[in-house]
Amino acid sequence: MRIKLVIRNLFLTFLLLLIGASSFSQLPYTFERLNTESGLPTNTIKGLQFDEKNRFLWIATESGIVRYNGHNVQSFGDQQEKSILSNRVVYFTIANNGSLFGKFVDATSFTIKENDVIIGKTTSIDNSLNEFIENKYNVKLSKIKTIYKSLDFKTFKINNKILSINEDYLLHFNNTSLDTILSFDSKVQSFQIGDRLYIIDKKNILSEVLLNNTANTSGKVLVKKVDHSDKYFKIGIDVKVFQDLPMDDVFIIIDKKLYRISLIDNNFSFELILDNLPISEYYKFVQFDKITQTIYIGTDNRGVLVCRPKYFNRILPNNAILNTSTSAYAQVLLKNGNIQVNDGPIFGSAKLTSPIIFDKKSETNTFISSKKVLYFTNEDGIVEYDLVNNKVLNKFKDFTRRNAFTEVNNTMYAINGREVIKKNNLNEWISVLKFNWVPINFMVFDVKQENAQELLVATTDGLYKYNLEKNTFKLFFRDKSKANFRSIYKMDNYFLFGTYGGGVYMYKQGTIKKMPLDPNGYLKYAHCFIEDDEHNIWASSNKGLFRSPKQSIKDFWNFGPGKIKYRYFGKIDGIDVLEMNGGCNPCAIKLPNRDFSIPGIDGLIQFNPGDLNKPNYLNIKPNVYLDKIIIDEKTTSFESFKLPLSRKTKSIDFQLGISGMLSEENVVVEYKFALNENWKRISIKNPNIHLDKTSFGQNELYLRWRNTASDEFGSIDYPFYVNYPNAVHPLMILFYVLIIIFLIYLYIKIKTTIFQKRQKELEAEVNLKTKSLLSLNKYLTERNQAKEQVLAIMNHDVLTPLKYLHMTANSMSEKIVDADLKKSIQQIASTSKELEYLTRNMLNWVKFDNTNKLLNSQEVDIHKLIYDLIDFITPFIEGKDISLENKIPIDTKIKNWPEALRVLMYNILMNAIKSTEKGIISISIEDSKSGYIIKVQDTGVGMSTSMAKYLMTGKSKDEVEHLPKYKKGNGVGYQIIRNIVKLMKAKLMIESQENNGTTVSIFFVS
Amino acid sequence: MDSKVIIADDHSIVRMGLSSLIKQFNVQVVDEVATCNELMQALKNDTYTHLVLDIILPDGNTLEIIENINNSYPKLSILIHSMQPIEVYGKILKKYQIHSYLYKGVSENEIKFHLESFIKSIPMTMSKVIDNEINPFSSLAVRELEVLHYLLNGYRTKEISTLLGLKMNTISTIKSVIFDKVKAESFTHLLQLAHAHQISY
Repeated sequence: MRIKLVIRNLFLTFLLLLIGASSFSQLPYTFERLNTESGLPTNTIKGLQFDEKNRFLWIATESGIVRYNGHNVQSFGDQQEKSILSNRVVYFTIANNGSLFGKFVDATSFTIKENDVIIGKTTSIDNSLNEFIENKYNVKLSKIKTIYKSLDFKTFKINNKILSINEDYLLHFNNTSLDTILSFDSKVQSFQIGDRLYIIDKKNILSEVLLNNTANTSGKVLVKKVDHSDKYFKIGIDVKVFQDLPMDDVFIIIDKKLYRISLIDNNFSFELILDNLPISEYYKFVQFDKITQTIYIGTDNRGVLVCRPKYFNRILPNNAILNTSTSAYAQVLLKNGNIQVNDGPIFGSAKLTSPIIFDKKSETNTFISSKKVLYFTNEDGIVEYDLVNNKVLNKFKDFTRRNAFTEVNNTMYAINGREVIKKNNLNEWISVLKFNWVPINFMVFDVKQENAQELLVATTDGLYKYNLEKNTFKLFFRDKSKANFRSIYKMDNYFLFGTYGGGVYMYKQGTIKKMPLDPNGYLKYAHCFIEDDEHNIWASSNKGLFRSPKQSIKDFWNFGPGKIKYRYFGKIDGIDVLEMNGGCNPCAIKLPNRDFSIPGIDGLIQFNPGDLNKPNYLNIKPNVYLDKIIIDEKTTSFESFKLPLSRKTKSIDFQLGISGMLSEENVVVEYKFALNENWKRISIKNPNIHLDKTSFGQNELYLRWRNTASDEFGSIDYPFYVNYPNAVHPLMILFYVLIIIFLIYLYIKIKTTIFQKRQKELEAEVNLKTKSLLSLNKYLTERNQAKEQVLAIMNHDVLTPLKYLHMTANSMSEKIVDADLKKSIQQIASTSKELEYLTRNMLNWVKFDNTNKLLNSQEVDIHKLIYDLIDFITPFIEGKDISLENKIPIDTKIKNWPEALRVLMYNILMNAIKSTEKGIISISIEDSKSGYIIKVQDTGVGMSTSMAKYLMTGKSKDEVEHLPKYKKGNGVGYQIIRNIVKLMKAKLMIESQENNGTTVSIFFVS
Repeated sequence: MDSKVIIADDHSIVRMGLSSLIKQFNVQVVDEVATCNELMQALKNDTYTHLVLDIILPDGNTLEIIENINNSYPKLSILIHSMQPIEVYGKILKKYQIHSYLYKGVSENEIKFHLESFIKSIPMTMSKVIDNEINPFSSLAVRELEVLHYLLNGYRTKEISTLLGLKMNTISTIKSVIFDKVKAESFTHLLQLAHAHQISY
């Protein structure tokens, strides 16, 4: 057995030396199968082409052509005008110029243009090879009758000669003829390297076709077996060769291995790409993505096998036993290279024995001090483990709570849910601060020193700060969703905080900022952070890993969100279980071989970040294409879309195609319909934009996208125009405006006309009224003048003569002896005096009735005024036994209106005289609170209270109980009195008792 | 020399009353005239010691003749007996050396008293019924009072110019001055003011 093994090893060494090439496996690969479940119309693949430029994988199937962009299969046969795309594809290949073309079974040709399949002309199937040659090499062949056994064309262009190997013969295309230049014994496979053509026959013999000998004398093309070819391909082993173009790589599948072969110094080099291809497969096509190293393999009946490099290894506990979780948290590297986690399980394949550290389940917070002492907590309390000498140093059983440790100036601190503790000089843990109050289930996940005085503390209740000097523990920040703060990572001068449900926060010198989440929100649950050698920060989440350049994170702090560069790693990168673990310390660790080890829900995830830096993802520039336009649920051609759309358009759906072969997490596509709108993100899984309620007129769809690893956006705009309904067309609006203006003009015009007419009528009316008023005014003026003249006449020609008539009559009566005549003359004197009084009062009535306001008051000698009045009215008391007494002191001066006062007192005295047959009529003046009172008191017949009230007010004459006996006048006297009292703003008071005289008082306000 | 009195008043009853009163003061001759013309003629025909003169007479304002009478009959004692307010005419009359003014509106006793004083040449003052009354018409000059008299009686500018022998422009100017001085806004207003301030015409 041992000899056999040695011989085998020697043989392999010899083989390797012989072929002078290395044969090695690069990376393990993961496999994903695209089949009908993924969206293929059938699992029978008729052609496979990877468009490197536009980065789509085009899959020709038995039932049409579909497109794959790394996460989504897009078919085209559902479009009415492209139903032909559901036909069986005869061939699908790439031309020398890189264009992709093919032919359907009905002899219709097609080409690929960026994101779309363009249907070509339909020709005879008999001419297929000619067309194939013409399209592939961009040549024009004369009509050559082609002879071929199958449609499995294999062509080459060597030294400007176009050759085709079809089944078992080699053809040469001349301009005018098609010559069979070589027949093989059986069907062969062929490939070209440089200007050399190789064939592999059914016995797996590799031979070179010596094309240069065609010019020899024999004129026959010779085939020369490649030396040691049997070393490569054993008889009976299934060998499959794949090459599309001479310049393409040549891939060979042997058994379950895929090689890439090349010719180096005339020796073949075999590069093993992967060695775990599924067996029992009929592989027909191989395509290779050079950037991502992804291999696409088309099968005969099992769809497309997508083979991606597997960068991530999942490590499970090597001592897994029943009822022990494979979930990993805090890791400690053991001496033998294995990793033990806090729960006890050991991960790794190292067989050497090593002391274990966690001999029982421990809390997830551990800490390695500067003295290489590991601190952790379990039921024994705080355990101090010497990593150098591999032994437990101390156990402090008083502190069994979950402690988060940190070291400050060589002093150990720990914070748990109840207190802050530290190690004193006696090497004992002591409590330095017990919390007065903390929320229920309060736990501390992580502690990091911020500065000389403060510790940052991640807890279930948010971010706290412990001040070392002040010995205070205070809440600094709490997430809106009250998410737990679980990890603290120091990134240069910044801190990153991972939360459970609240995303990632960034902190610097008292300022905290929430970082934008990835579009899928995976980072809502962020666990570990770790930096690689190329200054990328890695973050683990519940759904995979993120890598972002440190500078990009700093840029977020300085310039705001929007362009954070990151790359997501998930299933297609080889992470078997995406959910990572957190809330532990340490979280991610760097192994001695520079690999990262990150705790996961089902084992440790280990990888070399350097490997993942090799594929230059920045070179992948995704593109976004408009695949389909659906207007009101009806697919519309792009040509129709460029024309004005119906005004009845209700909705437009834009179906987009996203190229790049990136995972959906690593592409961002945004859109908007107006420049001033905010960008809206499109679901990459279902990249459709639905526009409801289209606006009339010019519209535009703005699209932009980027590979998340880059901050450069690609963009394109799709303008379109929706016809205005007639009613709201701009021209109609202009028309409406004109109509409104016209109507307003018409309205104004009509109104103006109406107003003008009305104005004329009013003017006529006013003129008429004016004329009438002028006439009336003239009449009234004349009447007024006449009245004034009448008054003047009465004063001059009636009053004065009456006075002198009385004087004359009196004078005459004294001289007359005849008694009858004397009596008559005296009667004339008396009557004339009565008439004088009446006339004077009539004049006064008219005078004061027409007066609204008295002139300015002036000083009046009231004694003299009454004295003159008594003298004046003395003729009226002739025949009566009345004594008029002026009781007002001499030189009494008051402020009053002399003319009006004279008339007022004249009338009051005259009334007193009339009501008094004998006795005294006295006139006096008294001071009052606010002025003075002039009183006229008589001893006459008096009057009833109702009469007095009537005389004072001039109202309710009907209520007067008893008319006074002296009722001789015509009522003008008291009317004049009331008028003057009112003008003087004085107050009239009549106090009387029948048969007991009357007192008339006038109250004047000073 | 016995007193010889002539009364010039347009009302016969007034003349009669005055005459009977004056005769009580032992005056034998009391003649009466009703107009300015009659007065001038009487004065020319006979010699009188006393003249009781109303201001407004049917054929004119006595202001028009008072200067002439004063000049022609310097020994004639003149008593103005009128319903016109003394504050309007008093100052003007003093210019003509006339110091006796008996207002018709005073009491009968006062009339008797002043007449007796006048006849007996007892110095008297102008009777004043109203003290310090503010009367806008008191600011008018002689010519203005003359024109006012005609205006109040309804004469037009041309007629007044003819009666007074003045140019129409002069009359117009005087009219404006009257209206300004008494602050009258219209002719009707002027009438009202005249009535309110006892200006008779």
